[in-house]
Amino acid sequence: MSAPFLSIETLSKSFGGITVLTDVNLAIPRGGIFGLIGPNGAGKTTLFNLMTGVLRPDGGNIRFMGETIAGLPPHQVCRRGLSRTFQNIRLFKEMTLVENVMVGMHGRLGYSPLGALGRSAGFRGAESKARERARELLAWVSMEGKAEELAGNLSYGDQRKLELARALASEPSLLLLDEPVAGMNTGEKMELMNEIKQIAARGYTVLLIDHDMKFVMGLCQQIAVLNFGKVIALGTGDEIRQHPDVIEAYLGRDDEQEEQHGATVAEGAMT
Amino acid sequence: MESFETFWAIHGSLVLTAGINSLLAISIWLTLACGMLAMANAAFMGIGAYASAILTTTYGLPYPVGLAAGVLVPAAVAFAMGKPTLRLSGVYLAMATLAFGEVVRITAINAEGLTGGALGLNGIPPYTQWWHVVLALVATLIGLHLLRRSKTGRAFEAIKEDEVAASQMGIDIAGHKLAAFVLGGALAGLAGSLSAHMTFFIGPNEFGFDRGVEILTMAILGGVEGLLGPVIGAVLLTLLPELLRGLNEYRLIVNGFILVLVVLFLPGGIWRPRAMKSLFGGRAAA
Amino acid sequence: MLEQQLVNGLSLGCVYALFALGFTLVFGVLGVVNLSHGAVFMVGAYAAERATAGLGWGIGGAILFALVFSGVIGVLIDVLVLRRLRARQAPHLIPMVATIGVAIVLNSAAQGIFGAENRRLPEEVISHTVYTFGNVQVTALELGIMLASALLMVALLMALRGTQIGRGLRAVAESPRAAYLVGIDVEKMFYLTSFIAAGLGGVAGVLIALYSNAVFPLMGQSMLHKGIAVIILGGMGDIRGAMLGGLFLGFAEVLAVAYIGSTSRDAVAFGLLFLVLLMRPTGLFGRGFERKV
Repeated sequence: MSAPFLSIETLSKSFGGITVLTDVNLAIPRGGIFGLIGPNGAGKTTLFNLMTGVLRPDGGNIRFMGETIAGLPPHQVCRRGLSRTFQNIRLFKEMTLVENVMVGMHGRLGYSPLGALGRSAGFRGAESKARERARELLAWVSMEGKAEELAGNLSYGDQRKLELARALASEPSLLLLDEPVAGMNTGEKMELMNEIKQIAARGYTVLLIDHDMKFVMGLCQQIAVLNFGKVIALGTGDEIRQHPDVIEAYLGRDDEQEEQHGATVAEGAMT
Repeated sequence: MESFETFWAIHGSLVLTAGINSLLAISIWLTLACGMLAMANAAFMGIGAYASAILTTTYGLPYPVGLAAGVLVPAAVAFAMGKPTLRLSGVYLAMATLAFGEVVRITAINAEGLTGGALGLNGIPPYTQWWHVVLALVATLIGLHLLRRSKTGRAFEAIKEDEVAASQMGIDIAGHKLAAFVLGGALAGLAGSLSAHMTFFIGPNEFGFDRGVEILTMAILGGVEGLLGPVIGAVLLTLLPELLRGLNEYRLIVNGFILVLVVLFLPGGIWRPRAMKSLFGGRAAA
Repeated sequence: MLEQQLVNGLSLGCVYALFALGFTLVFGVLGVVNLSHGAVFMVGAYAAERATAGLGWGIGGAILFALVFSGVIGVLIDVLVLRRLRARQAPHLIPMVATIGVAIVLNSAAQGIFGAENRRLPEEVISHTVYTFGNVQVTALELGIMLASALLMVALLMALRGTQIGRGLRAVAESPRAAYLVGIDVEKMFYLTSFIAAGLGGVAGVLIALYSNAVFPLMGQSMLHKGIAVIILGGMGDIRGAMLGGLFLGFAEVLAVAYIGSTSRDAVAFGLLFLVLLMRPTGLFGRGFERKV
């Protein structure tokens, strides 16, 4: 068995006395779409923040393609091949769509500031290729027509799509999507779902967090469920749906009757 | 030609001062452009002025050597103090740099053997030619313009807008901030060296808080969105006391008022290319 | 000897603490680093100078006058400048830059009105009696300074803890929005804070004017730098930290002057400032709460 693509090992994190993650173990294989769900406050975004170097773990380790990335600064994590989108959209509003995506390519542009100053051939070549690639990525999310508009002028749904295009710009091996469809209407969700499927088909590995069960079940081959900072279930959509701990996590535990009723409701909610 | 010569004889030094102030305003713009309020540039100006002047005056070295020192010494100091200081953010950084300025001033006063102490350095040879200033300013503007339209320029803009997102794009935040700080220090040092060799005399109180505020005011007045903003602010603030004759004494209070009024009523400064472009149609640039 | 130095340092430290208290109060409640605090300090000193030399008042009346006058200036600054920036929700650094401008205007105005020379508070107002306690000598002036500062600081602390208004201030300091939601008139709290902070600063100005026997337009500037050092030492927004930090700086300065030399005096504040910023930016004496990023 080869080394897991991404492995999270006994990871824990507290903030001033409040424990957010406890002994989280998770292994994600290469290829495909992996889901991470759980009630609010379960620690999902914290997990992303730990993976991308925004936070340092208190204990445990994170390994990506065999190398430890826990504790690395974010820009180095990016260079290793991890990329992400944010729960609260973090676009560069005063820059155009193309420029936003080109920022995403920062680590890949091979020229130095001196080269830029001298407008060397290397600079010019790299910049024009970057621009082309940016437009290509925008086309993947059907936004090429708006390439020169300011990101701040986009609609909410379009902003999320731009974040996705920008995250792809660094040629990541693993793409972390934090609530990519939050706040979108059904049509937009379907569109994005297809775009993510196509992205995965191109060979990118995707790990996503979301609360929309239909969306998650429809996309992800494997799903991990987080609650109170621990992984309580791992499996396919069907397995998760019927897992007692998961049901309890979302609905709480009452007496037997309520439980029966709860199980039916839960199943309905998760389909 | 005669009218130009007369004009230059009367106003030459004013034009050159405007040019030097432009360099200073650009030096603080560099750090403002990546979201930092650092008030150390008056100190770097002083360090550059003293370094170059000491070499040319006390040691009789040629001007190019003096200028080189005037750029490299402040840059080195900026690098050394920048690394730990730039970890601080916002208010802490502003105060630390203000304090640094005071430390430099106190050092200049106390290091009498080297700097002439409170009495300053006299008899600095008048090496600065008009083309030195013009060359420095034009080279700086062109260089920065080229950088802005490259990954470096985009990186700074990204850092200014959202550091967390920028770092996730592979941008080394600490490295870029340090680079901006060091480059700003070098520019301020250059301005100081050019100025010292134009005014024949420098004293420790020229590079203190008042000067720092003046530099900040120029940048804020002009606006920090585009590269021309600081230049416009510098030119205006240099010319204003001249245009309003007799207002020279009130220079400081005018600076104070401008600072308050611009912050209150004209937050983006005067030069706002994006707002103007959207007013007149077309894409934002510059 | 050491005890004497410590006593000397105590009166200076009390004034630093008083000044820093006002400074940190504005930061804690309004969230603004008010760099015009040095200017209101200077205003207080001139107010007292005019009250004593011009109107012939006693020192007690002059201090009260300085407190009120500076306080009013503080409120004006808030109403004219800071309030507008609050309404705009301007990012933190903008109000700070505006207060730099205000300070310059006030300093220049003072210079224009009073001239740049040193003035002194009239001789009659200052008591020269010296008391001796064992090895240590204290002048009546130093005792008076310590008393006045201590009284004001204790009064403020008691008010913050024990009165309705005091609790309101603390609520606003913690979260203006939450305070608003429970019905506290947040704007009035801001005005009150500005008044108190500037008033304390003004009194500190009078005390320093007495201590160093000098009133001049730029006296607030160096004091401001020391104030910055103190609140960073003590942790920004931390009242207890400001007081402890001020005392600490007073001691440190006096000891440095005694054992190193008088030129080291100003360097002490900045040296400490740098050290603290580099090693423990949340302050030595403060409770070190983590800033929310």
